Amino acid sequence: MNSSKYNFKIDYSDGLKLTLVDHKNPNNTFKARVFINLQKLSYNFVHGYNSAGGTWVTEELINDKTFEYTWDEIECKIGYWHKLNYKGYVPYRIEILDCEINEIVHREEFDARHKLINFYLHSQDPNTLHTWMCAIEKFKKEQNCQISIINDYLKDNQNYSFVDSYWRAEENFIRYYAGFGIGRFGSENTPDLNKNPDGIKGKNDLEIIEDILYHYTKKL
Amino acid sequence: MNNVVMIMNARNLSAFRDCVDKLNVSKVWFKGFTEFELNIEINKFIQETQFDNYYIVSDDLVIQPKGFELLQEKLKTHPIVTGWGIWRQNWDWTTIHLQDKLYVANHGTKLPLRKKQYNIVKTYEIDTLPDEFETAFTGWFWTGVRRDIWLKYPYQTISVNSIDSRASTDLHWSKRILEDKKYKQMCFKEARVLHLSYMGKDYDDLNFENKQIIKEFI
Repeated sequence: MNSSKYNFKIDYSDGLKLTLVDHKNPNNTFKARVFINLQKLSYNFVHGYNSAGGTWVTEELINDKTFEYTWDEIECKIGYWHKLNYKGYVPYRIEILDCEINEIVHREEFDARHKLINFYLHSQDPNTLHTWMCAIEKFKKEQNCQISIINDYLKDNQNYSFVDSYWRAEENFIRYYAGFGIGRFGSENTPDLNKNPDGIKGKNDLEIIEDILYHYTKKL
Repeated sequence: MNNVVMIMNARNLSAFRDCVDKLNVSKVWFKGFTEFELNIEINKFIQETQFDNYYIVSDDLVIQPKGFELLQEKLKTHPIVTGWGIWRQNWDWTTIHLQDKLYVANHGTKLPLRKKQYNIVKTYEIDTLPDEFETAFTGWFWTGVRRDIWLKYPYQTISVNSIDSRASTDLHWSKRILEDKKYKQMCFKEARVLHLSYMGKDYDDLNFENKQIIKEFI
């Protein structure tokens, strides 16, 4: 697999953005295939009894199955960028096919280990921010990544030791591997489906950040 | 021990300032100097002061207090210590360079300058490393060095004039340490440093005006 004649930019800073260049054939076209791994979990209720007459019910995992799901397939023109709409975390796997030679010339997986994930938090309410920060701390442990936060209130207070850097909104910080905006976007009647994929209205603070970090990994 | 952090400071990144403010150690800020200009200033500073150890760092490297405390502790038993991080946020390469697959062909007696000739540890390989290990490169990722070693191996750019843009003081320094084989550059997995750098989004905020040396000694 020789990719030296190509220049692939895969940018996760605001959703997924692909820019492809073929230095030798400017009229070439590519096909980008985007996959994600999903896990299908099945549970069973187990009824328990003891000699004192007590009963209880526990949930037991009885089956799990990992499968690959084709998220999107994009025809890419040289020199143009292509974006996927959803703005939350997805463990993408990407293959890029050179249509001229019909060969996969680049493979990449989203891998945040030891890299910086940025969160732009659109609230100044301490309770809302605390809920979101608890979810972000959990996400950091799962990903083994570093965390930056854009939020004026948290920049002033810096209460969370797991955060690697804080920024003000006006600083326009952009040097991170992947970035997610957390907030109440759209209007009450028209949710932003790029950040609230199921479109359910009136979500609480935890549900809002779950839509960004776990919608396509924990919900199925 | 009596330590100082030497900061190469040509940007105004507030998160770096936040990080430095949390560290209980003496600091000296070399503001607005190019790497070439620092050939004079850094070596002069080391010669004219009497700290036991001198850390060196550029202003896009953020360390957590816990990581810096570890480096301070390790510097009591190792003459050269360093943190580590990734080259760019959009790369998988880290600054950790192992010598187990060193490629030296076609270079005669000289060690290779090009980084790809070392075994560069990738982000997805970090978990396989022990807690502490020798690296062939520090990247100035909060690299702490004993004073006598600085005097013997001074800060030095590869280029010998200011027109030549090749600086690579970190690479040039590590190469001399490797050549002499007297000291090990010890790296610690827990001393992970955040590198505020992304290929294609960097270097538009360097400011080489208003040169100052600001000392904040404790």
